[in-house]
Amino acid sequence: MGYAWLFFSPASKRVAALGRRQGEEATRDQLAALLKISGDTPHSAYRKKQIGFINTTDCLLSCVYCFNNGGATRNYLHPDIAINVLNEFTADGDFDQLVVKFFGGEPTLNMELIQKVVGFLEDRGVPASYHIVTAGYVAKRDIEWMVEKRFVFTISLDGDHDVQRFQRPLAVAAEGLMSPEHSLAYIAGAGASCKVRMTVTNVNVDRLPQHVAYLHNLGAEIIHIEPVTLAGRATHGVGRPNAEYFSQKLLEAIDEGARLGVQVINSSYMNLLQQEGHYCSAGKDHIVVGARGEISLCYEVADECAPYASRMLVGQYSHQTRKIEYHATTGACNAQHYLSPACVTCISASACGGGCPSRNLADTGDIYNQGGYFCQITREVFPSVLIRIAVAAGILPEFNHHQGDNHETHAPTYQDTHRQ
Amino acid sequence: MKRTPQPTKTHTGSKAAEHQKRQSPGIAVDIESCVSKAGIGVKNPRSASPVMRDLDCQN
Repeated sequence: MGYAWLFFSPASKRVAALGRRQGEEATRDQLAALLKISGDTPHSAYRKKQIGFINTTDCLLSCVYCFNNGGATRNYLHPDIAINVLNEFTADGDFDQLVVKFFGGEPTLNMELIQKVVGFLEDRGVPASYHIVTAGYVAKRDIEWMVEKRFVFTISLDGDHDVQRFQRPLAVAAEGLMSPEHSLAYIAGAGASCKVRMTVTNVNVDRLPQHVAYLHNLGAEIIHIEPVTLAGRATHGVGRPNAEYFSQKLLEAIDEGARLGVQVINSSYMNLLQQEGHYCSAGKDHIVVGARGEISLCYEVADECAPYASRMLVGQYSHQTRKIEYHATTGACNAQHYLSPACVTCISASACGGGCPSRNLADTGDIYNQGGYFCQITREVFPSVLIRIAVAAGILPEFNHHQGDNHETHAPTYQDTHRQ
Repeated sequence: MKRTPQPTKTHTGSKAAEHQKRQSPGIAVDIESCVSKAGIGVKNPRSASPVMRDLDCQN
């Protein structure tokens, strides 16, 4: 029998496949039973706090799209500031796990900070996990040390050698450092947790599936693919692929990933299993410490020069009090949720959460308005992802992806939720 | 000849799906159990992978 309906419950995180007639005739109670919708919202007892450090604004690269203009300035976060902020942020002890992220610029240029933060938390027995987002030009001894400390690595790699050297050229000599490709191969070979972060422009969009295969050959098992954010250097130069074409290539990359055993992440569906209706944790037990002690809600707004600093910078470390001084008016980021009337009937709404606040600001000037570009990607990709999950689960037959992606979505309406 | 006892068959995998199909108008599955097979990476606090467990933003 050919299935014609795919039902999705954001509450129970289940999908159900029904034939054409069954789907049209199914009662609300039947669908609720099938999808196991109980009305109870499960809450995780796991309490997490997150703190990110912009180790430095300095960088070895001069990426053509860098939203932070990395390398244009050379501010380095002093370890004493990081330790004092950590002390204050963790003082209540009201968490099960502290997630510490090191970001830049190139964070490994400030290894002293990384080692002092890790040492501080280890000495106090704080349950912590460590993440680093790096360009991958790193000294081998530093990678070995981080692997030993069970770091989770994000390596920025945009595809094969030609793409990488065009989009992410070195600004200085990298003598004695491993290349990003070697770093990835070493980290993956050592069994450490890592993902590759791939930024997509008009330059590398055409061969997205091939780039996934290339990175898989280097050892990547998780690849996070996002279109370039039009901020910083990306406001001129490389262009952003149109939403429809990006979506098509992303789905091809997912199919290639499934074939190779690679998991492909994209923001249009990465919150599929979440129920908060928020895009990210900005403003919720999560702060980012800038290289000069700025306290921000977001990695993309690291200092007062950022175009939307007034919305994201919520405080400043004080050298006099050695504490954070919060601004009288704080950012509005923690109120992020979908507000548009069109979102009410969108099947993707619970996962989308209104989109990335920083990207919203860059695209539309409005923290709550995602604009057309990312909304279109989400609406194109999200239903196709549900179809792929149903196929992988064996409840939908194999299909021709080019035909299978021609779906219509139909979010619940008042009539749907009240039919008997 | 002594026969080796066979394990009791249970409704698992496709048999469970067939059973469910007879009892209800369609078949449903938990998304969490199928995402990786589909090549999909999602944030999941219960994941064994710290990448997925702590996935938070586009970076």
